Amino acid sequence: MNILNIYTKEMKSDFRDSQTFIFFLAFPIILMIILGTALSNAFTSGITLDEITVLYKSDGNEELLTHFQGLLYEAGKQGFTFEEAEVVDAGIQAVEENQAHAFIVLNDAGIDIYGSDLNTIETSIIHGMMTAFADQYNLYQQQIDLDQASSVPHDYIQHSSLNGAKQPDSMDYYAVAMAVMISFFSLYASYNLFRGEKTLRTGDRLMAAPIAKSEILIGKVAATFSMNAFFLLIMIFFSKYVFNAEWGDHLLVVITLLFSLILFAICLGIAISFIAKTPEATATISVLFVQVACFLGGVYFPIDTSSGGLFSFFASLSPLTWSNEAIREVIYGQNPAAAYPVILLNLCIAGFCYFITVFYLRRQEGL
Amino acid sequence: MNVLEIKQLTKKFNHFIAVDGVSFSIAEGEIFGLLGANGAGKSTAIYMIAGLLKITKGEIKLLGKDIKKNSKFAKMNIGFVPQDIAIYEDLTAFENVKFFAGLYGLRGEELNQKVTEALAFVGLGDKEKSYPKRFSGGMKRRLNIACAIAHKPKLIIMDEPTVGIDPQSRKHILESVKKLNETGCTIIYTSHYMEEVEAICTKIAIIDHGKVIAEGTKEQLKTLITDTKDIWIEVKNSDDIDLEELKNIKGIRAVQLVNHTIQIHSDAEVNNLNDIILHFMKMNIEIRSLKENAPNLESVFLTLTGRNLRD
Repeated sequence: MNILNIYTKEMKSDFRDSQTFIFFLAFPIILMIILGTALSNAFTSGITLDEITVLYKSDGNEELLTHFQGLLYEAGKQGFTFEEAEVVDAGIQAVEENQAHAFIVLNDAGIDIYGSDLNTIETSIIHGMMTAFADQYNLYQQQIDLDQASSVPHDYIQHSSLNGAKQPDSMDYYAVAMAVMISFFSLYASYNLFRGEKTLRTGDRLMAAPIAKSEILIGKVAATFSMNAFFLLIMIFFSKYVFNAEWGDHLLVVITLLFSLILFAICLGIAISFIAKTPEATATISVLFVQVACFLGGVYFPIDTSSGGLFSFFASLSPLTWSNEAIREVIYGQNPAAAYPVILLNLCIAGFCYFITVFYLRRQEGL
Repeated sequence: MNVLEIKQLTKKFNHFIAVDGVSFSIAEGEIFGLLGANGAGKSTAIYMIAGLLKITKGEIKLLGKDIKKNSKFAKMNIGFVPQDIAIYEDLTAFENVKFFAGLYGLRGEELNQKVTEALAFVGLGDKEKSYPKRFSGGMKRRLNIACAIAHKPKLIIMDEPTVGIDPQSRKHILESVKKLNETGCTIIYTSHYMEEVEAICTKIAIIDHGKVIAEGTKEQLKTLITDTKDIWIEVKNSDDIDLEELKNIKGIRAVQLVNHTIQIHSDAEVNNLNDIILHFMKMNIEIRSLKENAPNLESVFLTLTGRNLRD
């Protein structure tokens, strides 16, 4: 029951402090807007094309046309518009007059493509797409011949596509980065949990009461976790619904990972406050640690840890790096399993820090 | 019945002995004053009683139970008023008292009622919803006390509860201590203000260099040093005074004239004041003022420890 007393008291204190709202909510949201807007160009590696218009004409090859219609359906979802030309000459003329980006003729000899020098990029895209289509069509023709030869139908063709993962835009990137950052900022909320009792002189009063040190520790950790989790959730949903930031289809896994990072940061902050001798040393170590971890963790700008070198090595040591990368893999790689080792790692470090705290609490007299 | 019994209490910090074999007992209903200069060991002793420091050697029994083996029982029955104001500025007065009282197992309506009573007791009944950051030093001190008494402890330890406050708040706190005592509470009281201890404590222990060097009622303590007394007599004209004749009065050990004041050093047990006055009347010397120094705790402390309480 005393755990609940401590928890309630801590929550009251936290939520009555306006600086808490500024630091854990307003600051990351403002930073997300500023960085997301200012660095938006850094996240765009390609060019944007308008809708590609293609005319086509089937010249008697019904089998080819049947397959081609399947392509029309899929390509229509990717920003292509296909229209059938009445005659071949009209299609060629439309391309010459730049009314269509390309004209395709399906005949018994194969596929003819008419493009224009005015639209070289669009023409190249269409050419590439039709080449892939032709290869696939030829492969199906080969399977039909084999099936006829053996009189037993087989599925000789297996499709495997290498689709590039969806890439985040700047707001997507900074939504995740800020969520990771404020999760790790929990360290700031925790390093003063026990030192604060000394500063306020309430530590002696607490220890004079019939309450165990472990109850105080658990109550404080639980309250700080709740507060930070609350602000994190607000930030996530704010970025999701106000800025349309991408959080993927496995939001629960992402939140679980971030919660594990909060727990890690809280336990680390408390452990630092016991290991460091003075309040000043505690504050200095905590601020340095968080800021360096944020910088290396790609909170302020993206950092490529795969390039090798000393900087990449140090960057890979940041808890924010491994959390950031795992979350992006969950969101853009559709791979929730990528989060589990990181969650486990965060919890293990949190547990280690917790035991350090318990060791110091047991050893010293008072809080 | 003794509320507290301490036997051979010792506390060592590495090689430094802060409390060295202290023994005393406190009967139910007493206000027990603990006097000692800074670093004498009184706070260390108090912290061991309150369960804030581990005991190196010795025994503390509260209500007959060893506090080492019955830590929770001891803490439930002790109210601790620390020397420093120990309250949360971001909680209201009511919430502060409620939080600390809640740690003693009080719940619900009983808790709220006792919190209200404690605040009313220290004169903060109308400040329940106020935040301590708006309180004066005296009000914070009173809230500091309220946080320690709401759970109705049998023994209240007050470590210099009147440091740095205005006379009005001091008076209020001293009256509160007496009222608490009247309700049946036993109190351990430490202070740097000797007159406070003298005014409210029924029994006093003087602690120096980690040891109790004297213990008893204030009257008993005074007898420890009262073998001599000083009398100062200011006269209108000191020309005709025969100091040698004054020395013949029974009990007088020495006489000294400084300006128009005669300082007489005499045996304390001899009541010779009438003889001295009669002597001056015979000599037709007009007495302007007369002062006899009665021994007080300050002089007792000075004599026993060789230093002032505030050293």
